[in-house]
Amino acid sequence: MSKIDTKVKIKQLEFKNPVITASGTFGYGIEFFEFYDVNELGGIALKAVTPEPRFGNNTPRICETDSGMLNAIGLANKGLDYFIDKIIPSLSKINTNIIANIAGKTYEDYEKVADKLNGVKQINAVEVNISCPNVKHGGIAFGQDPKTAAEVLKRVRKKYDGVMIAKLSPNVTDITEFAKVAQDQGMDAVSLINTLKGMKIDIHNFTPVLSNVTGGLSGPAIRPVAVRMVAECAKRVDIPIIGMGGIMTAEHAIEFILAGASLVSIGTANMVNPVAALEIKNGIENYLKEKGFSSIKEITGKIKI
Amino acid sequence: MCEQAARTLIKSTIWKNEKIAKDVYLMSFKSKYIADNAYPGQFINVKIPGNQALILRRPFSIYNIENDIVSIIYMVVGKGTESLSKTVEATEIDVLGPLGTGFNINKHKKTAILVGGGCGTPPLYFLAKELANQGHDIYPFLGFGEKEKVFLDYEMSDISGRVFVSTDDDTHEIRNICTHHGTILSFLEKYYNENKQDFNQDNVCIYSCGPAALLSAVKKFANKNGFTAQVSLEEYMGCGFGVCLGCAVKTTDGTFKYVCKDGPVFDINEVEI
Repeated sequence: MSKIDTKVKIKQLEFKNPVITASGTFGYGIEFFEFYDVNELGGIALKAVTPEPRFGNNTPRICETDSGMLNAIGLANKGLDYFIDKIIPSLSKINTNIIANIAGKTYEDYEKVADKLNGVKQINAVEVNISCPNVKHGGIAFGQDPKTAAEVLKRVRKKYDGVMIAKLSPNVTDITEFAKVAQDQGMDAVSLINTLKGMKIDIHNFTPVLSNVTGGLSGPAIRPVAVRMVAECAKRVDIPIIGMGGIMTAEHAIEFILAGASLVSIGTANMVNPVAALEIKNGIENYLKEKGFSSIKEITGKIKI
Repeated sequence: MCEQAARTLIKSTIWKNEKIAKDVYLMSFKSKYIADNAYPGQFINVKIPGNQALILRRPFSIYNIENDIVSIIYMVVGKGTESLSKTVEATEIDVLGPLGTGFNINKHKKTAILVGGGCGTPPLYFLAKELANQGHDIYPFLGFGEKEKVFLDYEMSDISGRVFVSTDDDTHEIRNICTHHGTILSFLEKYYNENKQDFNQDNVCIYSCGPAALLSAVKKFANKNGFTAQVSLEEYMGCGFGVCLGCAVKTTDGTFKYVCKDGPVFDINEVEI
């Protein structure tokens, strides 16, 4: 039987298959080697890095909701210096694509991290997180205003020469406007969607369950919203789309690919089923085989409307 | 410190799932892997069978291991545990574990005071068995909200030769069991003050698991009397193996650790309680 071609590219960067993992749900990748060979995946996105160490928000900062979960981790990480000195060297086992995810509170924060990562050979791409619902710049996430989104993307683009991806927020009226902004600012791809801002209330104590009051909703509950947004963005921009939002199985991933995603990213599923990403990668190949396709490109964006 | 065991996904079937006290259930399943690798204070992360809407696993500390049978004891507190309590025997179950860093038995301190509150009691039973094997003298103090919710009192007594039980609502009458009306720490302090001569300060280690208020009282008691203490913390978890960073705890040196991986058991003065 001929081998199915699942290779995809973002600019010059080749992914051997379209399945990657979502930032914040996969640690630094190393943790998952006890379950399977992570190098089987197309790539992995690392936990966000900010210039300074961050404890994140107070606990509780995670809670379950129907078919989903809310998180308000708050970009907990040990900072840029630790990332460069300790994390990067620890990634030597990983020979698939490594995507660093960068975040900050100010434009300068983003610039500083992008600049420091420029030329770091272990990092194959940088994803710019302009959409964390739990960290604010003047009360609004960078990714909720086209002007601040454009500004931050313009600035990081100047600092980093490699493949760069903008991670978009769904907490906007028209996400395609932001995808267009990303394309115009020289981003090589967009990833969507980040979490939807939500809240859960403890009816016995009359208090929000999360100490941060609100959090980002992820998991199967948001999938139809994510699929719709990917389909809309695919019509608006030409750069590749990394689709994500509640993908738990290969069937879910295929919906995103049909909607126009070149790659899919697995998030919450990793926490529930640590081998989910690998199962999804194999499931996509099986689907293509069973349907008689020889390449993933034959179904990418092929939703019939 | 015991080395952390490798993690793996276990598919098993429920061997037993029965009510042992008000809102309290004991669930067992067979897993040679967990039985061979787990040590006291570690936990397992259980996917609740039969309800797709409950997407996150639930962490439960290991209560007992007998041959290849692994047991947990859980209290019905929400949708997940309620659903689990209604799951029948022979149902397939998906478990991740053993997880976390458990108790580090202090071989030089042969007097072990165990302080458990409610559903924090089960891991102390697994620990008591190990302590007894190693020849420690064990003083189990177990606190419960109501007398109908008391469990593990006989079992603990069988291992330790003694047990001290308190309830918030009433003392209850049980054969050979010292009972107390009030918090378990007030019982411990009362007992300790009346029997100080039995305790050599340098030989005592406290092991505790329970709600935050109990742990903070344990900290006060341990530090006042110069005892070392280890506590098992509880926190909402996403993954249970150190990647989602949901279960952060502040450390006394100003940094942070994660309950699921660095803990759930910590030295009492290592973390902010």
